[in-house]
Amino acid sequence: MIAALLLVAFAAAVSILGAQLLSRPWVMRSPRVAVLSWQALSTSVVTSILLAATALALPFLPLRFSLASLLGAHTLTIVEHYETPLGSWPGIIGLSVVGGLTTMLVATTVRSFVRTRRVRRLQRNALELVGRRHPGGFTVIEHDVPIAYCLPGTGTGTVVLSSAAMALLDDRERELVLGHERRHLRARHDLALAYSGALARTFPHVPLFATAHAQVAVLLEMAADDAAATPADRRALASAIVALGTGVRPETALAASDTAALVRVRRLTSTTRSPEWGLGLAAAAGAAVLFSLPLGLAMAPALEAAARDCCTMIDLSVGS
Amino acid sequence: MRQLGQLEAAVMQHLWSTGRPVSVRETLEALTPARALAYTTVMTVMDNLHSKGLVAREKQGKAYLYTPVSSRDEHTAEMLQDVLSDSEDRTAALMHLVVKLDAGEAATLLAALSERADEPA
Repeated sequence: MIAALLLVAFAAAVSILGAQLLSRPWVMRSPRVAVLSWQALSTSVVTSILLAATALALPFLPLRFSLASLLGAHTLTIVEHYETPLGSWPGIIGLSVVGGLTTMLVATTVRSFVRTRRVRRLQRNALELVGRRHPGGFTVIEHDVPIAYCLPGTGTGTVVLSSAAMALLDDRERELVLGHERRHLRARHDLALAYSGALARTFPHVPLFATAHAQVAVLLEMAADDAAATPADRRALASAIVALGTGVRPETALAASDTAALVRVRRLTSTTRSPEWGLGLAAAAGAAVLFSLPLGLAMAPALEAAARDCCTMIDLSVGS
Repeated sequence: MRQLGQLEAAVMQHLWSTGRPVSVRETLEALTPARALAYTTVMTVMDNLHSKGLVAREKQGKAYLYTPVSSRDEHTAEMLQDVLSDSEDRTAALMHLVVKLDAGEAATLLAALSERADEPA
């Protein structure tokens, strides 16, 4: 009971503290570290909740036997340590939470996977008809809206530029834009985005996952900016972003405006600071805590039970 | 499969460029200098395009005449709808360099660019 409560408290605490820590300006210096930190934070929160529910349900789960034999303790002692004064209700709730959350996560993930594959297949088919291969290794479509995007999947994926984007960008800017998109494809940024997206869609009422998804999207763009542009090229990339973002004709009336572009351009035009090793180390240490602490909290009653059984046995042997 | 896709693309290019109803025979003649094709192959490809809803056809004498359902530009615009829309499916499927800037944001960005234009990059 106490383990479950502590785990829920841990999840709540790291959600709040973590989100605050990851909304500080340092994330702009190392977008890659920040992406990994957001993912570690989200994973830790989900794991904590699942472990809390498992701890509640443990007296009713076959897992109790394996845990007992693993720790060399009596199953009854283990059960005693996880039992609650409220009878079997917490166990039933715990079981349904574990079952429900797992089912929801798997269902959303499978559904997004299927949809994503369908959209990409339609795109590839359409590109085959209207696109033409550029010798530079990308696809050009005739269109008067300047647009640049990448289509991940099937081997290396494809970078697509519209003819208006080709006309708008000079050679150097075009190479930078291509470098940016190719970085997305090579580093499989779409998978990172799919992960944070699956959590955000499964738990639409948990603000942490929505924030994490939005942040991961922007940070991946920054990571691709960094990979594409050397310090000398950053201004050219910034001007390419501005050109593509403003070259859109008003009648196209696109759905969303891109406030994130503002932050990126400011970042690219401001003085460059190299990513610091310290940040990476701090993030790694943070992730280690995020993963080991919930597991420790969940296991604590079992370990205590094992210790008690061990002592009883010693007492018995001394007594005889 | 991939080759069939390329052939479909080549046939569509031809239909789009002629701009009038075209028979299988004419299409075959237009494509053959570039590749060796059988009449039946081209007929199958055009039949596929018809069943996919990409081309319309009407009977003229013994043969069908084919016309694209939508122009090349319309087709491109239709495909880009997916890219430009902010739907959940799109966001998961593609990654976009920059979505859209409104007038205020654009002005701020241009200012940010020119502000530092005199500094060494």
